[in-house]
Amino acid sequence: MGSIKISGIGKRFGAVAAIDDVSLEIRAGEFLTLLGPSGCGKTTTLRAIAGLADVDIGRIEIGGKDVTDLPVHRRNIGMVFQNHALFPHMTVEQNVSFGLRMRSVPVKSQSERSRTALELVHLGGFGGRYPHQLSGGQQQRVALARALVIEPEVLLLDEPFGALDRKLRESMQFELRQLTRRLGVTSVFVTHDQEEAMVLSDRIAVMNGGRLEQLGSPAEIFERPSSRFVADFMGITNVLTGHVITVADGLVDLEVDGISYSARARSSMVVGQQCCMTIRSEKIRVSETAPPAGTFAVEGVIEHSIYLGTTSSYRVRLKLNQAVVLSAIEVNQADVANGSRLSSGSSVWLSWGREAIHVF
Amino acid sequence: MHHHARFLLLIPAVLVLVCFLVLPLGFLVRHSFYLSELGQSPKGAATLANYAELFGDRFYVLIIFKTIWMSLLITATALLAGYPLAYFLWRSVDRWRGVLMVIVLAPLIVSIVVSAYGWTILLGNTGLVNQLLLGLGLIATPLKLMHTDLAIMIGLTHVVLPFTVLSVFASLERIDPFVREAAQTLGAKDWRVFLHVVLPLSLPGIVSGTTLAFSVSVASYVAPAVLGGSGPNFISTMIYHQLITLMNWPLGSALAAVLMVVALGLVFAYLRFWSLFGGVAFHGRTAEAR
Amino acid sequence: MFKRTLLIYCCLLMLFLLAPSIIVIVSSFGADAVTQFPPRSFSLRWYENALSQPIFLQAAKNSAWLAAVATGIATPIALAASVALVRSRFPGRDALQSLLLAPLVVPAIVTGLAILVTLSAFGLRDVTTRLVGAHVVIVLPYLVRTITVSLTQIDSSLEECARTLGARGLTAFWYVTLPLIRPGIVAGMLFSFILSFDNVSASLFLTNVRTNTLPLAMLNYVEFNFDPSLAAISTMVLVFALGGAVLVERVVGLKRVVGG
Repeated sequence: MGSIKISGIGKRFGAVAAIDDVSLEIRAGEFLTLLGPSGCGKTTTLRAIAGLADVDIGRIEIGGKDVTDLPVHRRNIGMVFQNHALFPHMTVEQNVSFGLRMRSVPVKSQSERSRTALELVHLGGFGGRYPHQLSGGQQQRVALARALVIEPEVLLLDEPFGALDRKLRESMQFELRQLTRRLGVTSVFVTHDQEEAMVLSDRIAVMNGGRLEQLGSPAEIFERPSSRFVADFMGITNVLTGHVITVADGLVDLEVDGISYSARARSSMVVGQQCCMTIRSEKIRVSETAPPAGTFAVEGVIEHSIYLGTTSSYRVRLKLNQAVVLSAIEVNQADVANGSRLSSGSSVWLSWGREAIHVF
Repeated sequence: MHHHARFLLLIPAVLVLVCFLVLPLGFLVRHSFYLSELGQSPKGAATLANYAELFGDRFYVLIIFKTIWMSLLITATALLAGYPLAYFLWRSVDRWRGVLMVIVLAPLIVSIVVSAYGWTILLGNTGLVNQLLLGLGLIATPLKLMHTDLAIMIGLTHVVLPFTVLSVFASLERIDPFVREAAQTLGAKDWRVFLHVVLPLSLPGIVSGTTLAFSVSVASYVAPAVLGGSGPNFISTMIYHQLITLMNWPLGSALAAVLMVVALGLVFAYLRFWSLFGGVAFHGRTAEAR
Repeated sequence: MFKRTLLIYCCLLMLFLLAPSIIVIVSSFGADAVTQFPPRSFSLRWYENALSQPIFLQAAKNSAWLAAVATGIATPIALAASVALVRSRFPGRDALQSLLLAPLVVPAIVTGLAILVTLSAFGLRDVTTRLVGAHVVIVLPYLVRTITVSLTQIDSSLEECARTLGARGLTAFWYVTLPLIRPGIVAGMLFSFILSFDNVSASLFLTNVRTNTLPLAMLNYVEFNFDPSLAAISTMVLVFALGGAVLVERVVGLKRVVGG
């Protein structure tokens, strides 16, 4: 009930594969985000679940039932579109009760349930207005109420907050999450904003070029990206490419342009293998004095010192390898009055523990 | 250019329209309040005699009502017959759009005289329609189709179809495609999507199409003249008769004034009605709140 | 099932729309002296006949000249008016817009008669003036509508941008806006030409024996003659008009003419 299973679906538009062999299982009540850049296939996948797009191959199941050949109006889904898609010629109340009307729900029940749904999105009393009389945020909330009032098995959302300004977007994200948790409805959300994905999701499915790149919780994806693409897309900094020098006791030494880094090995790593690594910015310690002997550290010069209020960000160019610029983030201490602790041009030492490095 | 200077750009247009439309219409109306001998200048005092004659004589009243009634019928037919074609055009593939457009516009592109002439060939006693009906054994003697009200109806419906089809089409095009999809996701089958979403949102097109169709029909001359019977016909043919045959300019002017009032008055009332009762759908508040 | 019914219905309806034209074209090739469909034998003699009649040739020339002049005069006027309507706000704008589109609702026959009565009263009996005036009034609203639709479709900030780059008002309009609305203007002009060429109602009372338009000449002819000469002329006119329409559709898209 409410689970989704996508098995090997594919769809082509002419020569281009919009979706290429995607398989995915979404648990009942879960909030999953399809994340990726434009054209990665996330919207097409969502529309395939909805039935608005047909797949060339593969099957889709909702609640254990194979819906691949089922037309849109029989799938019992609720969908929120990017531009709200409210019926402009109907009042808010008529919009919300539309799905109930299609299901021949008795009129009295329709108005009761619509009212409840509108109150759920904090728009109780707006029933008599028309869409063009509402603000963007209100319109989107009506769209949400309209999709939820029919108690669908699955809620699908196609970049619903893209047109809203930042503050509004944040509050809507919060409200949405509260609502879906409260109602326990399985939700599939599409966005290209990785921050939004992290805020909302139980799990994230990162897509690229029609394929599923990585599936996991926000923490898993951020801490252990499986590919360069995922790392780049998630905005993870300090991604370096190098190759393996030694592997022993679950530890591995990587050489990146003359500097050797030590990290926890991934399964099946061999000497000479090329791989990527990231060093967590917030785990890099920046100091003006050299760390005690025996600690791994590199020297560098601060190219850019950026004060961000809560934190400061330093871009440090390594002395031994002028091509590498590492990004370090530290929390500003309360007693620093003039912005960042260190300024551009300072000579510093960077150090970190082995657990700061993730190899993939 | 400042906004005030922009305003000057309208002067040529206003000038042309005042000189060749507004003033002449005023003159025409004035002319209808006088009497005159054959082809001579009007003389004497202003009088309502012409209008008295028009509304007093059953003959003229019949023509006025017939024109209105037939135009309403033609408009309704053109709307009902044309809506499916507009829908078809809307759902059609881009590749065919161009060709379909030209076909829909055919009655406008092809001169009205040519179309009317074509109908005379088709509907005559030895015309194609009668040939087919005789050949199929459905009738024994040729039907009199030419010089009848039916012929006028066919001819004029043909002429005004492009207006209804294209107006409705333009309206359909403006419907947000996501709104249709939303209705589908909410459980509406195709015909219900049409009834609850597409049809109401095509209302502006329906109204503008029927307005145009009625205006054209009520004012048309060629179709009633060529295809109609010799008896009481449309107002326009009567105007011609008064002017050219009877040389009674003032009475012709009075008829013309009546025609204008009928055309404008009914259109105005029609649009006012929709403005008041058409609601959100009519007022085209279909653009997203920006 | 529904789709198939719709397709069949639409094909039939489109046949209806094309029927008179097809009939006329085919009949024009009939050999008999009486127009009939389908023709029993084929010949081009009625084309010869039609082309040899000075009435038709002269009338055709008149109609073409009239259409060209009316369009030529109406287009700049409509262009100026459209720019004013779309790009500025002033009190009474809506009223003026209604005035500009008024000829669409005023019966053309009434317009023609009104012009006759008025100009005669002022002693202006020049046929050319009457006809040109009437035709300009008839085509003006169509041009205004087409051009305003084009103008609303383009981004007004483009012209503003040109101005920030140093172009003065008229220059910005000429180099930026005008090229962008040119398709709309062309479509409007072609439609206006056809409209004027084919017009009957407005010209009905304004011509005289020496100066006639082609549609009126054709109407006169059909009253007394039954041979396919008329079909021949009609076909020739039709081919030109259709050719023009196809050209516009290819280059510009006919939707502009009636959309909006």
